[in-house]
Amino acid sequence: MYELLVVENEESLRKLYQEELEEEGYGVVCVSSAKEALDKIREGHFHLVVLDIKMPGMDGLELLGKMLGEERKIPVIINSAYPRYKSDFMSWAAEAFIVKSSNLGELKDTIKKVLTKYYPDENKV
Amino acid sequence: MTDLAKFRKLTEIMHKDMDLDRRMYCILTCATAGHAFGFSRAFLLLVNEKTNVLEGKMGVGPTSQEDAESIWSRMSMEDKSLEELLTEYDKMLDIQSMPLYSLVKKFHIPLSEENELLVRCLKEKQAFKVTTASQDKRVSKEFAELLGVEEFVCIPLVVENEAIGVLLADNRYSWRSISEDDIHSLSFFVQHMAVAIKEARLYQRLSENQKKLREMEKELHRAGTLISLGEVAAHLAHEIRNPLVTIGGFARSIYKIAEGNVNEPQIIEKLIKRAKTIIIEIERLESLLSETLDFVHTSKPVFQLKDLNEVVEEISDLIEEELKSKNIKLLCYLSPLPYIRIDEDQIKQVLFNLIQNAIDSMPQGGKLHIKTEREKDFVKMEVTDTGQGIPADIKDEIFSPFFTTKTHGSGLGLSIVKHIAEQHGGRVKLKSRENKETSFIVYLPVPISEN
Repeated sequence: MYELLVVENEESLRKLYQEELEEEGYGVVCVSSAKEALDKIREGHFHLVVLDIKMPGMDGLELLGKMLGEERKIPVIINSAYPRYKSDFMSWAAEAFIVKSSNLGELKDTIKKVLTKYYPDENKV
Repeated sequence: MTDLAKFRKLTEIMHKDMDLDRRMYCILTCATAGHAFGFSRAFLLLVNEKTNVLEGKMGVGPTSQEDAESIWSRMSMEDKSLEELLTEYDKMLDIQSMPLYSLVKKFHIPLSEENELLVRCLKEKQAFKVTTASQDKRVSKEFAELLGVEEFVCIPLVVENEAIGVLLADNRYSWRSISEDDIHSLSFFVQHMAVAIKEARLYQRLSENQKKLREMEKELHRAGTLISLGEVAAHLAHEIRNPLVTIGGFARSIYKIAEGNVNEPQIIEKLIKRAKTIIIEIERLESLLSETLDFVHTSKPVFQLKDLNEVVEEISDLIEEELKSKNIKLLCYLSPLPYIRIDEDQIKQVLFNLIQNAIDSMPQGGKLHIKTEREKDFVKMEVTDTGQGIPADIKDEIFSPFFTTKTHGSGLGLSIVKHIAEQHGGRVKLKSRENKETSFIVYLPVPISEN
């Protein structure tokens, strides 16, 4: 089973992502800050990170920068309310950029696409 | 003027403040006062360094023979001291109300006209006396006619070896001829006063710059409020989006669950309907938010070469009906224009906002003029209403975000107009007469290639 890490500071959004993504058959861990996320990533068993940008403390882009320095590369999907971050050069380090929406269709599709691209030999869903 | 004490007194009065007009008036009053130099009329012309033109600044003296006689008889009765004469200046409202002002303004001599006597006076830093102006080759016909006398004297104002202007004096109404002594003592006087004029001019320029700086400061402050407005909107949009995503997301999951459950069809159907409504409404809000965020952050205009008149025509067609229903007559004066680089949607917004304001200011109906024309390097678009006008005391504020005099409306209309005009490299000007009319004039630059 693919393990996803969702970084999102809004509690109700975490609930939503947890439910919806588990329903899709993923193992889902939600954290509320970039710092927690970094600790989890270092534990090292996630296949993909869904990342919010605007968060109190360390923001998503900074976390993305830190992740670039990590040995094991994990694909990141940025999920932000701000379309303008798309033009931030740090965003290029992410695998995909989507604008937050109550319709999780795009997020789910993107997750699927990125996982298939990154782990072509595994067939886990 | 041999009395040194008098001279000192005068210098003292003169230095009382830095006002250029007051100092000029001092000098000219001395030149014309009976107990000083006693000329009929005296004029000061100063060099405008920007335009290289010798310009008439001020003149003191009577405007006609009768005027002269009445002044002289009054003067000899009152016997005013110089100091008293000068206090009369302080009572005067402005120099434009001085009798000789309209004549003075006609003195306009480009320094390139090297044969003109006044220009020679400046360049050679030398006083000249003319006795028969109409015959004198050094004096142009126009100038002689303007002055209307045969005999006059011109004396340069020289400071640190630089001539900054000319004092011109004649005896138009006394017909007394000008003696070498007169010229000599007046020259001596003018020489000493030139410094005071230069000083006052520098001070004036400094004050002007200071005023400009203060205006810039205000401008920056206004721009500052505009930025914070953007931030507020962005923040608001973000704050709204997260709950929206959650609500919408859960509404969807309710919908999905209900849809798959067919045990109690009636209730399920109701659930589905409601959840669907929630989803639709939320999608609408989400797209509205995206547009707002886009406006706040990426409101960079997309420019295209366009004829502004086409935009005006399109908008005026659109509003015709509304204006009719509000008893407002639309009058368009559109002159042929060069193509300019505009963001059509934004300019439509500008026009729309200005027209909306105009309509609001004429609740009883009236006339709406839209005028376009080229003015030098700009295309000018003027929207004028015959409404109640804008009180002078709020003229500075009307472009600030959130400022409004209406009971409805966001107070953003004019700040958006200004913002858009500036993004186009242009500006907005306001002209208003209370209870008469208000014009907003938008200037948009003509691209260099069209010049």
